[in-house]
Amino acid sequence: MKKTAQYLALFLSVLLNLVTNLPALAGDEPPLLNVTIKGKTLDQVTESLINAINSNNYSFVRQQAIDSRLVPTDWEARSVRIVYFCNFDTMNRALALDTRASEFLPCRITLIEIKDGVELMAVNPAWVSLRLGNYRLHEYCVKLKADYQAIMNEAAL
Amino acid sequence: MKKPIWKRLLGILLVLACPTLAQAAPLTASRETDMREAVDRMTIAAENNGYRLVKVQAVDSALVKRGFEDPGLRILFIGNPVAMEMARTSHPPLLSMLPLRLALIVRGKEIVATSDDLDSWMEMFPEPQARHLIEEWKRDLELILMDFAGK
Repeated sequence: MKKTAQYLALFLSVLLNLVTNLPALAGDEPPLLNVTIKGKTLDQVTESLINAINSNNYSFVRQQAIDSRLVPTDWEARSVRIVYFCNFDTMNRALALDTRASEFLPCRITLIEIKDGVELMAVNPAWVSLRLGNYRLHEYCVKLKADYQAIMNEAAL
Repeated sequence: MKKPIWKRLLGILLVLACPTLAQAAPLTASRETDMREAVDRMTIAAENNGYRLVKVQAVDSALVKRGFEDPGLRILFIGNPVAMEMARTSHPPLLSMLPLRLALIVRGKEIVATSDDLDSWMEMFPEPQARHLIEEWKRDLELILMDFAGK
């Protein structure tokens, strides 16, 4: 009887661990976050995106053409740009939780010029963290996703 | 004959564990070295396989400079113009994944290099053209990581 109780306790603890580490069972996230901004140029959207990054308590790190350093500067694609940004405090906390957070650090948004405007695209960090199976990291990523959305939406105003 | 309770519980746990086993599986490789040499080795490994180092994101020194603990981590971005152009023309949403990212993480005397989880990208972009490109990148990354590890 005592042995059965021990097995039951072990079973319950492993079960609890599995449940807390399997947020994928409990949620559904889109893989990409997208916002389309019509009637603006790539330069205008880049500027408003950088302003939105700063006003949401993140630091702008750099912007570059998608093929920067892969082709001579004069040949770089003018229609696709990447903007990198970061909040060092939250980056530190995420990496302390799980070094696999490096999969979505630093934050980046890709800007693609389309016929009548610019499309902003980013990999949804909450989608990534669901796959990593770390519930605490996922909580952080849900917040990060909300920040991405706030920044992208503000840039679209 | 009735099965012992521990066998039944073990069976349930195995069933529950299956989704965990199917989770993220990035490509990894390691070698005994320090961070500086690892960056050099990875740069050479990338070049040997048609890629170029685009940027080293020194997360470790950026955090230490701001008073945080050293996470022992650098992120390398690598790319090649052909892959970039193929993504742009065949499936532009793939551009959100480029340039490719490799993390170098200090683990004792070793540096472990890991890629993003490209299998999950195939789920994200199931279209045949996108899938084909991602499979190609995955093969390239495998070669780069093997080269890095000296295999």
